[in-house]
Amino acid sequence: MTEIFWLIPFIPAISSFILVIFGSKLPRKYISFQACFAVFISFAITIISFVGLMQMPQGSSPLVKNLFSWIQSGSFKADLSFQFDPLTAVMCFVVTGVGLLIHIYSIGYMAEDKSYARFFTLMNLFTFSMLILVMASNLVLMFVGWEGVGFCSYILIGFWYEKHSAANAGKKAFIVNRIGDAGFLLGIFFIFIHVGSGEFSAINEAIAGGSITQGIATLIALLLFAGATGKSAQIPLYVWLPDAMEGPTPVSALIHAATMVTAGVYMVARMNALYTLSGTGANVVAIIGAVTAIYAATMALVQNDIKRVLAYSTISQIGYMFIGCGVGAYAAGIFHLYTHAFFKSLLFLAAGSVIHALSGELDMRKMGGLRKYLPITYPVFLIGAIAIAGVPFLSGFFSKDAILTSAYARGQYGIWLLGILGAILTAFYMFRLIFLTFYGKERLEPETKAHLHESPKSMTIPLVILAFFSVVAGYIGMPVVLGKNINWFNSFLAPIIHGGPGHEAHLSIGTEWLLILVSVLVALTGIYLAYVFYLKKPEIPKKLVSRFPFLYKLLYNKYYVDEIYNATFVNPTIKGSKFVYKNFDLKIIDGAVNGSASATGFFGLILSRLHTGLIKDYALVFLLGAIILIGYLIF
Amino acid sequence: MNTYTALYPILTIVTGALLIILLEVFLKKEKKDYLGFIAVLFLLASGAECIKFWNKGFSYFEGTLLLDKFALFFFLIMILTVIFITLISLKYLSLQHTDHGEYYGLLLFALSGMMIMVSSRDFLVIFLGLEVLSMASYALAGLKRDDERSSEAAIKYFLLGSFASAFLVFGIALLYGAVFSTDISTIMNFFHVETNFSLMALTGMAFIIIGFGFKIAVVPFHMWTPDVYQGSPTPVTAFFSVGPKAAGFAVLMRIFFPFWKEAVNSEIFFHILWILSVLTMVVGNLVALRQKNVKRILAYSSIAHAGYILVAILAGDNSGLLFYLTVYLFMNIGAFSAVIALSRKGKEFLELEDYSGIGFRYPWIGATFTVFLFSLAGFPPTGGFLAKFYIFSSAVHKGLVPLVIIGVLASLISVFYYLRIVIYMYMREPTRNVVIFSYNPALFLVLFLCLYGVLMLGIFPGNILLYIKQAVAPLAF
Amino acid sequence: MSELFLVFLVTGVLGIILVLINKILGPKKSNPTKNTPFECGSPYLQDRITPVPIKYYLVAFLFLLFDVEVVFLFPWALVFKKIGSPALIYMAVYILILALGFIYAWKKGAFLWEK
Repeated sequence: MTEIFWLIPFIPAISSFILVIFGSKLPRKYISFQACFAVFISFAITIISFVGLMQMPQGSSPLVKNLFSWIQSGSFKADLSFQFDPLTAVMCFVVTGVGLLIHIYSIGYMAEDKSYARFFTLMNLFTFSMLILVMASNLVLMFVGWEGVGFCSYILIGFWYEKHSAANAGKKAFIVNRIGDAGFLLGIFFIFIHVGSGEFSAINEAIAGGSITQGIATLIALLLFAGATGKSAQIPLYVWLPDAMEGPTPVSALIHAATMVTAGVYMVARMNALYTLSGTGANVVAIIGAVTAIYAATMALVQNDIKRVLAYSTISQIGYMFIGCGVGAYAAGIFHLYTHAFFKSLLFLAAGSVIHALSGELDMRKMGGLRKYLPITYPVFLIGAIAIAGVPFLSGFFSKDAILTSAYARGQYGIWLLGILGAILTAFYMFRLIFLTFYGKERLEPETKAHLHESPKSMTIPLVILAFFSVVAGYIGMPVVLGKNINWFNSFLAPIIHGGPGHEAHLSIGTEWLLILVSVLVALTGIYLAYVFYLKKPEIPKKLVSRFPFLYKLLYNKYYVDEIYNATFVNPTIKGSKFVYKNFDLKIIDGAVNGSASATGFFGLILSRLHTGLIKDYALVFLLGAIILIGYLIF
Repeated sequence: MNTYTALYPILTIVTGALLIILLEVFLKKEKKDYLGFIAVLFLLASGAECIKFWNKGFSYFEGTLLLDKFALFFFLIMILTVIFITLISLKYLSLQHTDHGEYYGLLLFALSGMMIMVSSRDFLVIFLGLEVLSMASYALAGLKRDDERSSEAAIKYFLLGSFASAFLVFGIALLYGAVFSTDISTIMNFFHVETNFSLMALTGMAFIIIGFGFKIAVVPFHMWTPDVYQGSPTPVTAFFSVGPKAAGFAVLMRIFFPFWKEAVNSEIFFHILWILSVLTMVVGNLVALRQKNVKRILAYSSIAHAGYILVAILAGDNSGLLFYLTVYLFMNIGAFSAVIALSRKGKEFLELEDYSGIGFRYPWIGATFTVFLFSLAGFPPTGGFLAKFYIFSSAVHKGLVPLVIIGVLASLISVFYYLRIVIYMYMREPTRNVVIFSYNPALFLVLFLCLYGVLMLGIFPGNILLYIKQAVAPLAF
Repeated sequence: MSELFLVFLVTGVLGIILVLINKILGPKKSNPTKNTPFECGSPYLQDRITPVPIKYYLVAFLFLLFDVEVVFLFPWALVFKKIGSPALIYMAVYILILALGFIYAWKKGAFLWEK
């Protein structure tokens, strides 16, 4: 049964295809049913394949299904082939499982939208692309999925394209991603030059065989990582993600929390042999991750838009995943990816539920005291916040702790410190959000209050399921101190981690307990601070703002990065292209083109005169041609 | 294996043709459509036999009839072509008052001629096949008997065709005089071994190139093409532009591919083909710029495509050539089908002016036609792009850089006239009242299949390349 | 052999030149009488060439076809003994195809002089 794993991506594709063609004619109920059912089937196949994978004997080669040779040109060869190994299995679970819940949630959320069919078409298409990305067994096919999710995110962010800001946000996401993709593509080219193949197995063999030097490995690793910073919204290419919140909330949850942004992390984990070999490359990943984690967290502190807080939090959390990968704890990074998918999509969907209840209100200053109106949304939101803050015994705690412990164990104390600092901030801004939204005075507009209601079942049920997993998902990867050999997740992913078995963390039990204690303290401190600031003494934040107006402005305006980018890159580019267009394109190129076009047309005219329509002329031309040809042959 | 079973694919076609001719005189006029279905039935049967024989390597008549994979691949291409042509003709014939039942019989006869051509290595047998093909073609061109242009096309094709056949048969005779054989491999072996050829051998070879150059419409032996293509009934034009061309190239491949390999003496032929290829690409595309009739544009475009395919022969890229022909089949028949779709009783819409606004009035036809034109022009992700890409890239590998530059420039020119049709379809206000007869399921089936083929070959060329690799293996002897 | 081609070239070019010189240098005077067809000095008798009824061609074609095909019977008869009984089958197929053609021509009305 495991052999059918290659069907996983195609079922959403087929569903999407049907919806494209017949979508406008089908009843709404059927559309949403088909879309959800397709993802459900994929999820079921994932489970079947996973069971098959577990039954395979230890050390057997990964499952690869080569459908057919897709491109073959000279020595360049790319197959349409999929693979299913532990890493892919984890990713497939995240994409299809969380994706399924988000699809179901969308039934309620998008119920009144007029482009219902278009929405589900694109969601299915997105699922398809993401599955291609994680299941591809070579870089070329992976790039197809990579670009596919980029395209889908562009079109989904701009889903409400009548809204100017949404269309612009889509464009921004696409362009910023393209910059990273250029680096990614260059990286693929270099791999083809030095390895001669894009197959992951071949790349790993080449690295194990020592045919790639460390310098080359660093170059490729950095180029590939450039693509990852674009897709996973890391410094310096993170600017698109906050704007992407213009899209419908399920899109934010699916793309910008659970799946697409994790593509970069997946890629780094997939190419772990390369990053381990490079060393420098891995360090860069860790440093960028740590800096992004804390940088994005500071911006999340002062945002008033509920979705933007979550967006910055996503950037920050992905930073943690990169820390994990960068310090060599790939399993920890992927583990955090996996737990994060649950609690972040939970947070997004719950935020969507809040927004839905408030008829589209996003500003937290106009919320407050909502907990009694939203009896289901409030507790699940709280669970999500606790999980992300890193309070013990919820999933986020285990994964974040795994990352920080490995950073410490590998001697990266600076990065560990940044991570700890980020964790305080995380706990703080998440609870700031909770307190502003659900506690305190009601600051609702009277109009929205009139329509206040809890969301329909199709929205709350996925929330509850996600909340359940946010609590328990972490227990498959508990730290070693809580019991030997209990970290099942690590051993499950072990076959895909190459070259670095000796890197296992060896800390004394005492140190490890200490680290855990620090994490716990940090989380609680953050929550307490938020409690003091926003419930107990709400005047403190205002005082701080008046005390440090510059700092507040800097944070509130997101360090002016958008403005800096506009001034340094965007505007000069636009101006430069205008200049070139006016002086070079219109005058020189167009002149040359028009000139050569008319010259070509003139020759065409002369030659077409030869076709007189008289057979004798035709025969004459024929004969002349023959004579010249024979004459040439003989001399 | 030498067995009479090898005759089956061709025999099936001939039997079908005879049966159709016989039934034609007994069937009532309204029931002529049945003949088309009978033709398709026999074509499918023959195709099935070809597939069954794929790995068998049958031959007959002491090896003069040779069903190697190369021949069988061409059989399949040609059978597919004729199936498509038959399907698009079903309604066309009665709409354009050309419903002669012999039509289908003639198509099958032409097909049997082409099959004989590609399945032999003996010049005499090839000539025999060529004549069977030509005789049927002349009749097909003149099928619209009450139309002046059609009759003109037939007589022009006939006169110039006999002219070319004379060259060919004279060439074969001269070669026989020089080498004492009509077998291709023996003759090409002679050119390998000898260093100083007699005048007779060289002239003979030149005459043969001229003879086939006529069939595949290479400049300067192309003059008949536009008039014949324009005058013939449109499905017949579609057939001419694909079938005989494929057969001609198959023979040229049999002649030249083994030859290039250790070519001590191939230089001189190489230069000739080089010049012919350049002339064909340049002249075909330049003249097409000036045309106002869509059928004529497609005629010149098919001349230009022969030029690109010659590049493949020069580069020795046999699999690229077969891939090009396969793609060319789908995109060209597709384009002609779209032209045929735009017709009604007694009237075809062929002027560029007629196409203004078609894209909005008949969105499906307009969209598919656009895809075919894009493919002909060589835009990704269509098959036309990959086909050109394969050919040009292997030519670059062989160091034929100037040729490739000319080829790319020529196809750049071609973009202009292909896109002009698209511009007329989408960006011009309709000036004429174009109402078409739209109930034509067989035609739409062909349009769809061609669209599928063009896109499939453009996006997933892997599968077909596998079979092409097998098919070209027998060439390297 | 290049000498041979040279001869052809020289004579060919010379021929073309001679024809062209005539065309360029010669005076061009035209009158209606000069443009009439030449018919031994007498005024021409008919306006144009009158067409022969197409039926003649048809009959000629058919005759040629079946006559030539019958010619094939002679060599067949000569080697009949050597081939043995399969020869009978070969010829039967051949005649059958001929017969089909005959039926076709008949049903098409090729043998009706007036229709």
